[in-house]
Formats: sequence, structure tokens, C-alpha cells
Amino acid sequence: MKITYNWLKEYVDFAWDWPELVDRLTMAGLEFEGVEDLGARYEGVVIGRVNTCCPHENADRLTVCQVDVGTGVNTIVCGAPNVAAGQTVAVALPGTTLPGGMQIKKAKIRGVASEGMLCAEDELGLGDNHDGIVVLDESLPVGIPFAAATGLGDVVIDFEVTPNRPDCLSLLGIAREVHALTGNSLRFPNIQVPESGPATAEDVRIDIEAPDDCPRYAGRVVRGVEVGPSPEWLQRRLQAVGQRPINNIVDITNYVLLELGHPLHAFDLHALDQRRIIVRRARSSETLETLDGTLCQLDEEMLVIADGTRPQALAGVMGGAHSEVSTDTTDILLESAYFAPSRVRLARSRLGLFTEAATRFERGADWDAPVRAIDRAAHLIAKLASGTVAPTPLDVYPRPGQRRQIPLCVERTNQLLATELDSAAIAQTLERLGCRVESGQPLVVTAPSFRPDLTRPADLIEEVGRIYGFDRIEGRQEASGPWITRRDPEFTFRQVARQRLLGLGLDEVVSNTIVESRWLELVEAAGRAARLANPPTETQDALRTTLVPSLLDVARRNFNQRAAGVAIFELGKCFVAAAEKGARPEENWHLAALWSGRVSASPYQADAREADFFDLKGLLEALVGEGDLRFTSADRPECRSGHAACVSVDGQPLGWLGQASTDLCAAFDLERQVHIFEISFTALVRHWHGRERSFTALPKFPPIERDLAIVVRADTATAELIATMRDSVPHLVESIEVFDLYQGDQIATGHKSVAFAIRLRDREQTLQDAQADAAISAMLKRLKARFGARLR
Amino acid sequence: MLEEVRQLASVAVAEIEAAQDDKALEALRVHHLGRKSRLRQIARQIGHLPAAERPALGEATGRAQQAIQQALDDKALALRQSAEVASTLDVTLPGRRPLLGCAHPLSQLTDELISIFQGMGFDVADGPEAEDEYHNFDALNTPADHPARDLHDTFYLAGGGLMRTHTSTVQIRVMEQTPPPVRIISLGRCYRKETVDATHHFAFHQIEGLYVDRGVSFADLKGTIEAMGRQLMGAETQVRFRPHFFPFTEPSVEYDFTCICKGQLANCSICKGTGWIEIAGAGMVDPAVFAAVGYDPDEYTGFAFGMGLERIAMIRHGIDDVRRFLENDLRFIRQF
Repeated sequence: MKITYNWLKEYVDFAWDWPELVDRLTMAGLEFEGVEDLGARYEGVVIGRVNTCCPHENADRLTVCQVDVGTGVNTIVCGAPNVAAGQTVAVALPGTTLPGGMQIKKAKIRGVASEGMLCAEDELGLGDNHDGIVVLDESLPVGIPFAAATGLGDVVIDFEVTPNRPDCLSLLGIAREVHALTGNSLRFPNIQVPESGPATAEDVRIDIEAPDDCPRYAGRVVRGVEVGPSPEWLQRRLQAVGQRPINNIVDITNYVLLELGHPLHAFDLHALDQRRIIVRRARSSETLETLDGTLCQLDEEMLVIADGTRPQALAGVMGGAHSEVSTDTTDILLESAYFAPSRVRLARSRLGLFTEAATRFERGADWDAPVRAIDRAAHLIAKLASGTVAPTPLDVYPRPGQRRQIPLCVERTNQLLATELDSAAIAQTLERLGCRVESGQPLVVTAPSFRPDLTRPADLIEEVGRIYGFDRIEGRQEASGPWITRRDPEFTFRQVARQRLLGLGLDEVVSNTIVESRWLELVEAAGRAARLANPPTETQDALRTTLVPSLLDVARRNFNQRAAGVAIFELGKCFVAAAEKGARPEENWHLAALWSGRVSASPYQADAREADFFDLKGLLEALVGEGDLRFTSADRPECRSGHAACVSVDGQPLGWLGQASTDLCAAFDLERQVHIFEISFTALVRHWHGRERSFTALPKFPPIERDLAIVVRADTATAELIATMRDSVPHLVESIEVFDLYQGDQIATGHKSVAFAIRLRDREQTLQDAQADAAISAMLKRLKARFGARLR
Repeated sequence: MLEEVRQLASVAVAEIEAAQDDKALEALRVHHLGRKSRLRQIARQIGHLPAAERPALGEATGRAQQAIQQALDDKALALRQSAEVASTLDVTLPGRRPLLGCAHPLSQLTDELISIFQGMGFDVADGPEAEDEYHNFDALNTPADHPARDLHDTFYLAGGGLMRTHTSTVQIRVMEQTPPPVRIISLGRCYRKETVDATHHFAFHQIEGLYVDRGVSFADLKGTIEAMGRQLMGAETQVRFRPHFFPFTEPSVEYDFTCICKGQLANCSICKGTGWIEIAGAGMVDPAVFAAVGYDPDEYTGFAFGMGLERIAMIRHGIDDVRRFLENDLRFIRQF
């Protein structure tokens, strides 16, 4: 809502300059959007008095003037025919840039030094006239800025009005806020309607067929109007707040809308068939050409203002072209109605129209205002367009508005706001805002018709708080209320998991949950995905079911930026479409990591190898920590065949690990080997949370360490060899680690040599060499029996 | 033989002094003092000599051995010292550095906020991102024809439901399941159908706070936001509350923090010279919201607030473009 500083002052007094006005209103809930200083364009133009005027010696049409500009007397060469001694004029001093773009400098004109310029209307951007200089009121003091002297130095202030405050979409509404803040009295606009001729009812008939959509419709005829341009002050005001002047009738309806906040419309009376107004729903085949020239297809849910045959306006949104006021118009019907917000909103949004009228009606206009608004417009039309106002407006009012009475408890108000206001102070604030307050316990507050947002005590408490000033309420920083007694382990474990992976050298990423369906198709996961009905882009229409494509995309981005290696993880939500229609998708936390490229960041004497399966496997093992973590060879759509594993922990599925397939890498322009794991974070939390952390006594007796190298078939799973060795002497094995793996010349084809470092310990007594020898033999015997292993 | 012993000693000492490295020195030790050395052979013969000759020869061989050993020790020390001088480290060479990963700036902020609010007694709650109309709008007193419900603001799911447009949904889910008092924060992702540019993204993160109890007042809200502001943006931070409108709070406010420029910079890129940075919205829980979750609005009052994480991170780190957060350029992430 744009207002000007001077215009606002017509309705209320205040001693604030514009920055303070803005500040006060901001702190009362009107958000400052912007400001335009109309006077700034006249910077450097001052009021001057022409002392003397002599003809220029070297030019017939020029005059040399001595002009008092306050700071001194300047010699100015002037070419205007109307210049004369004694005139009060607008002087552009050297250094000034005029609104039209003209720059004023000191200059010699035909041998005479000229210090400034006396301005014509067009040079000041006030009109097209260039016949002579502007001659001003001689009472203006010399030397003061032109803008301030002429009232053109107004400031346009733009406020953002929240949707609950339609009343503030008007000068009067904002003035009422100033009134509430200062107590200075509110001045209502002058309404004096000189009536003559036949009554409105003799010229026009108004019927409301849809009273729920249109609870009130007032009309008034004005005859004999002279349609033409509005007076300059009116045009200038409309222009200042961003409206284009059209003609005096339309400009006056717009002016009243800005002033009182109530939308009006003017019909050309003679364009209305049968001189009838019927407020009804549109018929499905009907169309309406609106004022902006578009042909709107109407439907039965839209409310129209029709004449005897067809729609002439879209109720509360926009008028029709057919009955538009034009220069040929002589008699008009002014409309001032109250339309149901939802009906206006529906038509407005279906037709994609945004108008000042619709904005006000859909937020809730003042149902008590129609006659006042129509009379204010009639008053101005009589004055500015020579109209003759027909007596007695028609006021069809089938559904009278009800003023709500709201009980307000003073104690409750103070409790909620942490204030100590007495009932008189509360009543005063509410009364200034237009409420009627009956004292008592509780107070009984009647909300004004222009405040549809005030329906409950809480709404009134807000009013009291914001006018009192939320800034005056002291913040309280004291602990009270409930303790945290039960904490969801998931939140703690999210931090644990992230800290572990960060410590292990992975960078954390956070990627989009809305992804391209194609990405999910690549990993054969698209079928389970939930889709958006109105996606951000045509292709980006699915909720991710897996983190894998997102991580591949991040890898692509970073390799494109010449990263030597990418080691990343994401802990985030994935979604699976619900089986039953209408149910919410299932949401699960996934944890995925990707490692590709160089394992080490530092090139100096570092490991220059590329990350492989076992780098990422080791990382997953380190992340999970203690527990029975098992990897089983598996086929996965994302992975290269023979290079993927299913992962379980404590016998429960956890996720998978593998090398991304060549096709998948190619889809993301990745040339290097890429290894990925993705696990269910919920499963990991279950494992971590369920793990007992009780103390085991440290061993008292020394261990014996032995190495054992065996040759087995190359396809034998190492985990099974270790399990077999453990099972052979379960009570003595403390640990078995692989320390060497060999395939080559010294081993038969199709075989491999695996070397184990075995640590044996008896927890009850010192283990003897002979026992250790026996244990190793027992292991070897089992390995031979099960895998055909040979000692190497 | 006495003469030979003396000779042996002087030859050995000379050879030892001329040795170039530890290896040569070890060879000389073996040659001169080893089991097969001439000196040892002589020593073994002493017992066979006439008694009168034994003491002199014994003493001579002992002294020779001592002299050679001394020479060996001296030389070993000399070699070690010269070796040490030669092997001075270039301590400015880079260390073999294990990588430490970098947390995403939004996660860092999330962790920080959780810690700030747990310190004030707020528990952490979670809620679904794919929501229904009821939890995202109806229960939050946002009537069916509220502009926020327009198709262009909200992502709807093809199978029904929508992507939550704010974390306020969690207020409802928590209150539905927990009798008062409640004091929680919730952090997570929200979605609005916005055109992506430097200051907007269709996916963003929010923190939501809710405290409902008997006697909770606007002063509690203000104190909480002030405490958060000071911990997040510095102890000097001031908070300003401006009246605003949200369907689910009454009164509603927007809150601003003082700018890091303290209002001193007329052309400050963050506050545009106003001295205040618009942060987010808050207010006292609307009675209609209590009605929706079955709390007694006459007995309980509460406050709620929200805040966008990207905005805070951008202000704190001077980040110019909101798209950076989901792009995951590691050169960006590693800066924080």
C-alpha cells in the first residue's frame, strides 16, 4: 500500500518526519517496503525573486535578469517572453539536474555569464507547457527549496500490509493506526452531496439473486457528468502512488478506494440494458470482456454484475468494457457493494486477475462502508465533474452485517503479554482502533465493521500488545517448565555417525530430496518412488528412494572441478510411495558414502592409490564398530557384477556395499572407479542402541601368537576360513587377522595363498606351546577337511 | 710377543680411526677383537708361557684390548655424530596428514541450535516431510482459501498429500501425542514451489520451537529468542519484535537481530543500512491451534517460533547464494 506523507496528514496530525513515521508504523505492524522522495527530483531548484530585467545587448529575444536566490543575487539570462521584474520564480542553480534530464551549468550566453536558469513547466516535469517560465505565488519566501515551497516535495511510502488487515489498504486505515499510536484525532473526509433531479430508483433497478455472495449492493445515479481529465492535484496524487490517471470519473472512484479502502465501480448508465443491475452467478456459456480488453470465460461459480441481458462486470474484481465510462458518457451508475471474500477470490484466481478491488474484497471489505463510499465519490463527482447527483442511493442489503461482541479479560491480557495494563488503558487502545468497549469484568468489546480479523479475545490481546509496543515488553530468561527426561536416541546417533565419518575423512553433503525420475530408473528404484503432482521442473518430479544418484551427482560436480578424490557421505531422508492410495509416503533415514579417486589428500610420500572396495569396507567397519558385521557377495543393479556385497549386522540386514557399475558411472560422467555403500540408518541405530556396554575383565595370562599360511581354491571366502578356524578351537582364539594374500607363479592356477596371524589365549591359565601347536593342527585339519587347504 | 702386541694395537687404532662407516668399523672390531683375532690368539697362549713372562704379556694384551675398544667406541660415537649432523630434518616439509572431513554448514548450524536449545530445556522432535493438508494447514488455523494453499506455493504429491511448507507441522504432531507441558524444537527440510535464484530455493531448512505450559507469556518468547540470538550471533545482539501476521499465532511477530555492522554501514549488504536483519516469525500459539490438538486454551498458553537455517548461515558466513547449500561443491563445504 503506497501512501504519501502529505496525503496522510489530511486525516491525522503527527509531529514525525517520514523516517520516524515509518519506524512507528513498522513497530505497529506495517512493514516498510520502500520510499520515494518526490522532492529529490527538484534538488537544486529554489524560489527566486526577479529584481530587475534588462534586454540582452547581443540578442533580441534574451533578457538578463538579476535574481535574488536567497544566498545572493545571480545574473541569469532568460529566453522566456513572460519574464518580468518582481516575479517569484523557480530557479535551477548551477549543478542541478532537472526532472527532464537537463543539466544546469554556469555558462556565458552571448557574452553574458549566466548563473542558473528560470524554469518553465516542462523543464520541471510538471506538464508540457514551454511557452514561458512558471510564475509562482509571490508570498513564497526566497531561497527555500522549490519542492518544499510548492508541496511537490512529498514522500511516497510503501507499506506491506499483512493479509489480516484489509483496513490498512487505505489512507484512512493507516491514519487510524497513527491515531491509535498518538491519540491525535482522526479527520474523516468531507461528504456533502448536493442532490437534485429524480431519485436513483427511478432510473435503475437493483436485484441481488445471490445474497450470500453479495450481502449488500448500493447504487447511485449521477447525471450530466462531464468526462475529462482530472484536476492536476488529483492526477498527481494517483501518479505518486503508482496509479495511471484515466478520466475524472474513474480517477475519483480510484481515489475513494485509496482514501477509504472501499472499491467502487462506475457504469455508463445507458450501456445497461433495461437499466437493470442483477447480481447473480454467471452462466456457464457466458463471457465478459473486461476493462483490460481480455475476454473472460465465466463459470457458474463466479459472481457477476449483469444488466437485463448479460454480465457487465466481474463482481469485486473488474468492470466490463461494454459499460465502461468514456468521454461520451453523460449519466453514470456508481456501484458500492460488499462481496463475499471467497467468491471474489475464486473468480480472481481462476481468471488470474490481480486488481486493487479484488485484493480488498478477498481479504474482507468493510460491510458498513458502501453508502459512505458512494457518497464520498458523488461528492467529488459533483465538485470535479459537474455531475448532478440523484437523490437517495439505492441500498439493497439482504444480509446485514453483524458487529461481534467479544469478552476480554484484563487479567488474561496482562498474563499473556507480561504487561500490567489497567482496564482503562486497554479500553482506550481498543477504542482508538474503532472498537466499542463496555467496561466490566470482562470488558465487552464490539469490533468495528472494518476489522474482519477481530473475532476472539486473542485477536484483541494482539491489538493491545502491538499498540502498547512489543518492544516495551521485557524478555524473561528463567528456566521453568518440564525437564527433558526421555531423549530419542536417534538424534544422538545422527551426531555420532556424522562425527565418526567426518573423523574418518569423509566430507558431508546435503543434497536435494526432489530428484529426476531418470536418476532413480538408473538404479532400478523408480517404481517405488512417490511423485509430485506439480514438480519444480518437468524432469525433477520424484522423491528420492536412495541417496546413491545424489552422491554420484555430487561426485560428478567435484571431479568436473578437478578434485583429485571425492570421499563424501550423506545422512538424509529417503521416501517410498505408500502402497495404499492417499497415504503418506514412508520416510526413512539412509546413510550413504561414496569414495572415488585418490585415497590420500597429500601428494608428499603419501598413498597415491585410488580408493577401492576395501577402503570403503574398512570405513564401514570402523563406522559400525563392535558387532557381528557380515558381508555376503551379492548382485545389485547399481553395482559391477562380482564387486558388491550385502551387509548385515547381528543377523539383521543393514545395507550394501559395492563398486558402481560402468553404466551408472557413465550416466554421471564418472571415469574413475566409484565405490559406494548405502545403509539403513534406522538399522544402524537399532544396532547401536541395542548394544550392551558392560565390562569384560582384562586377561591375566599371556597370549601365544602363531602365523599360518595355507593354499585354498581362489573362490574360497576368507570369512569362512576364519570362521572355520575359530570353530576348531573356540575357547582359545582371541583374534585371527589376514596379513597376506598371494596368487601367482608359486601357487597352482585357480588357487590362492592366505596367511593368518593368529593370537591364542587361555583366560584361565598360561597357555603352553604344546597346546598352541595342537590348536593350530586342529585348525589345519578342519581347513583341509572343509576347503582342501594345504599348508604353504 | 710383547712387541707384536704393541704393534697390533697401534695398527688397529690407526685402522679404526680411518674407518668410514659403521660397517667398516664392525669389520675392524671382528678383525681385531673377534674370537679369531690375533690378539685373542696371543691371549689364549699366555697360559702356556713361562710364569715370569705371563704378567707382562697379560698386561700388554689387556691394555691393547682396552685401547682398541676405546678407539672403536670413540670412532662409533664420532660416526654417529657426523651422521646426525648430515641428517638434519627439513621440518617444513608437509606432514602426512590424515584427512578430516568437513561437516556441511547446515548440519553444523543444526548441531549448534540443538545444543543451544537443549541448554534451555528444549527436547528435539522430528516430523515427516511428506505431510497431509490437515497438519500443514487446517490444524494450523490456515483456512482452505488462504493464499498459502495456492498451487504455486505448495508441492502436492501425485498420490495425495503435500510436501510440508514449514516445520510448524511438527507442533501439531507433537501436541497430538503429548499432553502439556511441551517444550520442543524441530529441525528439518521444507518445500515451497519457488523459482530458484540466489535468494530462493524450493527446498530449504527451518527450525521450529514450541513451548506450551501454564502461564507462558510473551516475555518468555522474547527471552528465548534473545538468548538464541546472543548465542548465535554474539553477546551484543539485540532483538526487535515487529507485529506481523501468521494464522497459527496470535499475537504474531517478526523478529529482527541487530546487524553485525551495528547499523554503522550505510551501504551494508546485509541490513541495507537499517541496522536490523529480518530473521523470522514467532508468536503466541493461536487458541484455534490448541483447539485442533485438544489442549484447553483457557488453561494453557504457549509460544512458537520458526527460523530459516539458510538465511542464518548466509548471514553468519557471508554466503552470497542460497543454491550453494545443495550444490555440494566441496570447495564450498570445506570452508566451514
